[in-house]
Amino acid sequence: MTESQRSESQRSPMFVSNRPQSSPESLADVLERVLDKGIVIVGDIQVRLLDIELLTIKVRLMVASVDKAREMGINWWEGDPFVSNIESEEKNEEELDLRRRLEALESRVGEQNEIVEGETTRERR
Amino acid sequence: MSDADQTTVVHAYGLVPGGGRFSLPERGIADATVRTIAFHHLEVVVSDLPAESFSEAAWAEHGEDTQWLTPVAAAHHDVLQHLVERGDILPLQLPGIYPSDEALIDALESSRADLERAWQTLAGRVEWSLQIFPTAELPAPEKPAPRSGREYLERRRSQQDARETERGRRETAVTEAHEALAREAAADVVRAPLDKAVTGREEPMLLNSAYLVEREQEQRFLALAERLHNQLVATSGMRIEATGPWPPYSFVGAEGAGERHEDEPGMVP
Repeated sequence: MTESQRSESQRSPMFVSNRPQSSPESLADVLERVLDKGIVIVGDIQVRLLDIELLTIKVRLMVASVDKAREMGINWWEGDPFVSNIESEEKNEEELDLRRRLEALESRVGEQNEIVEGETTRERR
Repeated sequence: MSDADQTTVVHAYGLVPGGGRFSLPERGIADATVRTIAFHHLEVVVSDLPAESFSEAAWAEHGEDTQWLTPVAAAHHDVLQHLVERGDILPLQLPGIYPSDEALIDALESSRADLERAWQTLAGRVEWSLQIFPTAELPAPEKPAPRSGREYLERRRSQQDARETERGRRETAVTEAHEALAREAAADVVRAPLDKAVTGREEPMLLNSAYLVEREQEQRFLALAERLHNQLVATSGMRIEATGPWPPYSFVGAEGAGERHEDEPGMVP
């Protein structure tokens, strides 16, 4: 995609369908697919993509596993004015999961109490 | 080839149908020539790279260094992109370094059943990537100052309700668009949206997904994507961008690409 096409597509929301290229625009998409690890952000980089051109990318990229990103506490779509839905769904699921586990624990504790009570009654007899 | 074994390593790009039916790109990673090795009814596309720079030790050292990795990944992709535009390809992920042709063939042989299965899935199909971005922000807080704390709280609450409603509407629209496209695809993958720093855009990515599409269905798939795009622009303040055809990277799981890749692509994180 040329510069003029790009700026045009940003002005009016036309349907864009691009050929994948290892150009700066789709570099992140390429890395994400080609590497067996996720990609995460940090630090400016300069990339020599073709021998002829040296492209400075204002992209901050670091390669790391998704797990490592999570360890580092990177949750990039949180607190965004546009809001990514996916995250809120996850939170709900997490909450549901926690609630389910709590209920399971409570019922188990309840059962144990019953057993203890049963034993006490028996002892009393 | 014993001399060469000590100075070069074999880098595998991917597998193509045997019989040399289409042209290989002239140059691959580090400007190396590209050749093939027969593997049953398939061929492995490889380059011989200087061991000094691309041995396993070099990968261990530089594997997370973007400056080193980016041109390597880009060149790997360029070879596969050249191939996918000419025929079927089973792309392999990085790092794909082997000490010799024999070691590479042994490795492929040990996961042959999985490779065959992956080949059956991928043959005649390509990957299309789809990303959804908003074209407008969610409703912003109103300007006039509240007259009381109570009014402030009430207003805040109603604003939050409005945001939640809009968020819900967008969530539904994104999910529906994805589901409609997934129905037209042989397989689909939803990835974590890429960060704004990576995309270089002001607006966040709302959906980052990939679809495995029959080559014969490509036009139909894209027509649907465009219809959904127009619908989203008109009703939900969002737009779709599609990229493809990609080598079907996202659909070569652990089984397809060798033992290294344990994780099946899927919902992350």
